[in-house]
Amino acid sequence: MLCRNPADYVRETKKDIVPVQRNYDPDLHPFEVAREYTRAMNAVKMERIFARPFICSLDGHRDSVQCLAKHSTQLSLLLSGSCDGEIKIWNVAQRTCQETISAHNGFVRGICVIPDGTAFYSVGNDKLIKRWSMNNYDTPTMTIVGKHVFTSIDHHYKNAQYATSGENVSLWDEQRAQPLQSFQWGADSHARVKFNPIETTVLASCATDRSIILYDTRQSVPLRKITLQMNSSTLAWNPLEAFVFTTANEDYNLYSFDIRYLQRPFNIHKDHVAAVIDVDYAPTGKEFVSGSYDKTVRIFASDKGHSRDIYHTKRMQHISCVQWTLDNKYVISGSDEMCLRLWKAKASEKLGVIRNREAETLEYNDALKEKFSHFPKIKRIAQQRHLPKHVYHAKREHKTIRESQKRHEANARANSKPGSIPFVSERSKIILKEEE
Amino acid sequence: MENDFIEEPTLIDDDDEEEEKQSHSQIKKHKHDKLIDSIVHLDGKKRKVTIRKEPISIPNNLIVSTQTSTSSKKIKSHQLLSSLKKTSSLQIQTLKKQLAKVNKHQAVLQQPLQKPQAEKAERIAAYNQEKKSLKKWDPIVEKNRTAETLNFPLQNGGVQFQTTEEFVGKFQTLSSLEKDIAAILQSSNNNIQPNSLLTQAEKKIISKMDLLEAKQKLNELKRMRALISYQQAKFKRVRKIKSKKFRRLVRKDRQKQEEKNLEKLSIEHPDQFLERLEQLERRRIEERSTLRHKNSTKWAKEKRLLSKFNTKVREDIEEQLKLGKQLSTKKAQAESDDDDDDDDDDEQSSSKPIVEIPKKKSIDSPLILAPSQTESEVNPWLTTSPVLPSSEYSKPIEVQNEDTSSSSDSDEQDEKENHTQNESSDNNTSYGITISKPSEHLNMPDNTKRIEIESKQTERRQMNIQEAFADDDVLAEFEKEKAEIIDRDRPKSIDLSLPGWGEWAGSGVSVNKRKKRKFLIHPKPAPPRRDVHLHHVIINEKTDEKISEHRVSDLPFPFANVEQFESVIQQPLGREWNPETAFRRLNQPKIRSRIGVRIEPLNKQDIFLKHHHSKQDNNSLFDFNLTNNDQEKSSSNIEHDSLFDNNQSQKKKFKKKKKTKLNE
Repeated sequence: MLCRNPADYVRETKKDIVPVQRNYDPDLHPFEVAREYTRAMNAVKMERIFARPFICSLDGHRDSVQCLAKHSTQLSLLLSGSCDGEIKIWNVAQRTCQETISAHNGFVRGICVIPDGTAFYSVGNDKLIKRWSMNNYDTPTMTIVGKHVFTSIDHHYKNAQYATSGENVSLWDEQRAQPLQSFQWGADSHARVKFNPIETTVLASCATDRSIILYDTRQSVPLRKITLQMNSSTLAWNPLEAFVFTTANEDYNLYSFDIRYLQRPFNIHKDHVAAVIDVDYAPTGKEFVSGSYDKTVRIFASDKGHSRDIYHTKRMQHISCVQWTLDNKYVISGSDEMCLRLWKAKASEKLGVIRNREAETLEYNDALKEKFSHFPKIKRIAQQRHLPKHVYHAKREHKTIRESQKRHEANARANSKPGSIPFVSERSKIILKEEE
Repeated sequence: MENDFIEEPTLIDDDDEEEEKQSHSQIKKHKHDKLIDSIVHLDGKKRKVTIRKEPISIPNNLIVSTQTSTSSKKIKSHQLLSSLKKTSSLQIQTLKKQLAKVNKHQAVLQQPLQKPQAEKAERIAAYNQEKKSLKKWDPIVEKNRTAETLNFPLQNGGVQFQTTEEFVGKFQTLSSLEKDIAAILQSSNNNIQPNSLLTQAEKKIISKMDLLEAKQKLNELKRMRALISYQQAKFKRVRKIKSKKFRRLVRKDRQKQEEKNLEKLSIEHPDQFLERLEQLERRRIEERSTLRHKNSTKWAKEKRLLSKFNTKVREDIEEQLKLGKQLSTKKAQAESDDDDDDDDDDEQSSSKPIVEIPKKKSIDSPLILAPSQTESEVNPWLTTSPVLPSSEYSKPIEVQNEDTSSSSDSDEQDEKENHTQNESSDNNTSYGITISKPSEHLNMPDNTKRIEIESKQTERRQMNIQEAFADDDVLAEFEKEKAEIIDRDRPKSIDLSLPGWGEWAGSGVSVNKRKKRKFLIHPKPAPPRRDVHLHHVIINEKTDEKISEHRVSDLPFPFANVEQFESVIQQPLGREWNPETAFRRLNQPKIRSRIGVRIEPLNKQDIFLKHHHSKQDNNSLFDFNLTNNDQEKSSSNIEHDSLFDNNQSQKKKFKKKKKTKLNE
């Protein structure tokens, strides 16, 4: 006699999910690899179809954007400084400019928000450090006249301290008008200084003599200095790994370092075709975004050598600053043509409410894409990007240059005494020296 | 350069002359000095070099030292002692000893390093310290890198739950009415004060009792209060349960309780029981006669209109109907009938498993739990003592070895042992291990015979194959097959001619030669086959190119071998092949972050304090080298400090309170 327990198929309430009986007999579901391959193919095509990363541009600056800063507590707030000395405070959620401050004479070189988010600092070409309250933008709450032009400013992640770079790297207390400490080691000018977000006492600066110098606020002397082949424009610390930072170099590459082993970078990130100007880590520490002089924004996985995605528009000029928002969803770029641009961090991600079933399907699709990512057809669809003409040609040009260099080296090695031309790894080539 | 060449020889020539010149000049100088002296003395006065001196009573150390330094003759301490020879010898000796001691322990500091070198040393020390302190991050970074999924934000910092005291502390009365009520409530004697066990009213009562009685009363009160609080907590917990099933069970319980009460009444107070029955009967009659709990009432009609849009209203109506049914059914019938009442049906379905579980167990249990002794002897699966299969496996082999070593004469014994082995092997087969033990080989003294037999066997096999294929001409067949395949793969000419096309005629028209030639398309000759010279091989050149486009050509990076890669690909991820939980686990993303939630960088203090605490609890959790690390120390110090501060602040508060009390 056929007998069924109603509890198996009757819902307790009308809002309850419908119990679905599944038969996992493999004979009933044949060709699993082939079917999943087709699904992966569809998923990857859908991803490319829905890849619309550009959300909006925030315009209003009257000169090129020089610096960007995220608000430390509010996700929707963004601060940007331009070359005419104006600072604008944006509400990204509403896509409006909340406030415009004429802060400095000449460039605004750097902005940083204090950890509790109630005030921010700005430095400019007029040798001034200004502290602004978030409540009243009419006049700065404090102004310090410096001895030299400041090129950047960064705030300590916990304490009431901040660091500026210029002719030297100085450490300041919020309560004092004189620096607590000034570090100087060889270089006559520093482009950027950044605090480590985890080991909060450690900071690093990019000097204009092609070097990167490490400091500790508890020490009276710098820690170490490495000199690269070309100048580094900026660096970013990984917010998940205390000893990892990535520098944006003018030789079109980015280099990731472990500060305990500075003899060579542990990864080289290649893809840009012009000097990399700015870099910022995602708050998850798994990815970072870089902006370049080649008018493109690229997103790299922090453990991969090549970029995952490239963002560009016809009107976007040289990128001067990029930021990854603290909710890991958006990327913001500021460029020379006075606009800020808001991008999705994941180009094909759906914004807005996603129901449970949809989310599960998306996760399944992602898993399939990863599973079949080595298959040539899927790989091709997933990786292909339409590049701007100048980038496309430059890429090809650089490829030929690299190949010819390799050929020359191989020829030289073949025609000289064995062992006289040693093999030097690409990674150790770029470090000229490590000074103690 | 030219100048040098010119000058050098002259220098060499003048060497002797120069010496002469020097001697000449010395003589000249001497004369010159004399001359000057004479000139000075001409006016008769002696020229004195005046040395400026201040009158001082105490000899100055500085002057002495400068003088000695200028004279570059340092006076040693033993020289000084030598001048003291005239005084008593004892004193001198003690002095000498003391001096020797001083000289011995005189450690001279090294000259400090030059500034650049000193700074370098400092930098190296600082860097090494930093390097060392960063080591503690390794396990955390490793964990985060290899984690299957990371849910961001990693630390849910900032979420703090208010304690009841905090909440009460923040509460403020707003309106005058509330204030009045609060004042009245506070003025009551029955309020419990925070630091006392008893209310004022209770205290009053107890103060009037004698000591023993008061103690008893107090204990009782405590117990009651505890019980009340437990009960309250329980009620609170039960009240929060939203499950309908649970509610239904509670309701049924209540009904059963009532029925029990009825039964009790029937035994204890028959009069009351009768009354109760009558009451119930009357209610039933009323219910049946009226349309109160039916769909036809005005209220129900109104509600029915709304019920389409509002689920709650629908539920209300259903409840009403159910109540009506319940009231109108006869008690005796309701228990026997299943069909007329939905609710009863539900009840049964819910109560069924509860009843049936023990029954099933009682049926199943003899098979699993209580095996009969005879069974356990026979069946090794059911033996209670755990026996390793490996040991069982090794036993017969050992026996076998003994056999081979012992002489082959004792055949009978061997046979017996064989029997026992067979038995044991029969037992062993149940472990899923088949022991290969052909009984022929056991009694063989040498291995050579065996080999001969084997070789014979292989020969026989080959013979068999030849015999089997004696009639077929395999080679000819292969060649024929190859020719067929070559013929099949050769590109053929295509005939595009259409008979009757372009001609005046009907059926049966032949295509003329010219047209045939015109419409016959000859393809290009194919490149030579790869197996042209290999007569024993057929290489299939007709692989499907469309499929090969979709295939992976090389082994991708993270995989070590092809099997690994294939096993990953063979594992399906979809719902059709995996249960729901496995589906979710297989497809979970590597990073989860929610929109609108800020992700902060790792907080060092949180992480290491957490680990520190867990270490205190369970020492073998992590092997972080916390003690070496200055940062950690400082952070833990901070914690201690804060604790200390709290204590201090509490103490201060107490002091303040005391002071205020004193003032009052």
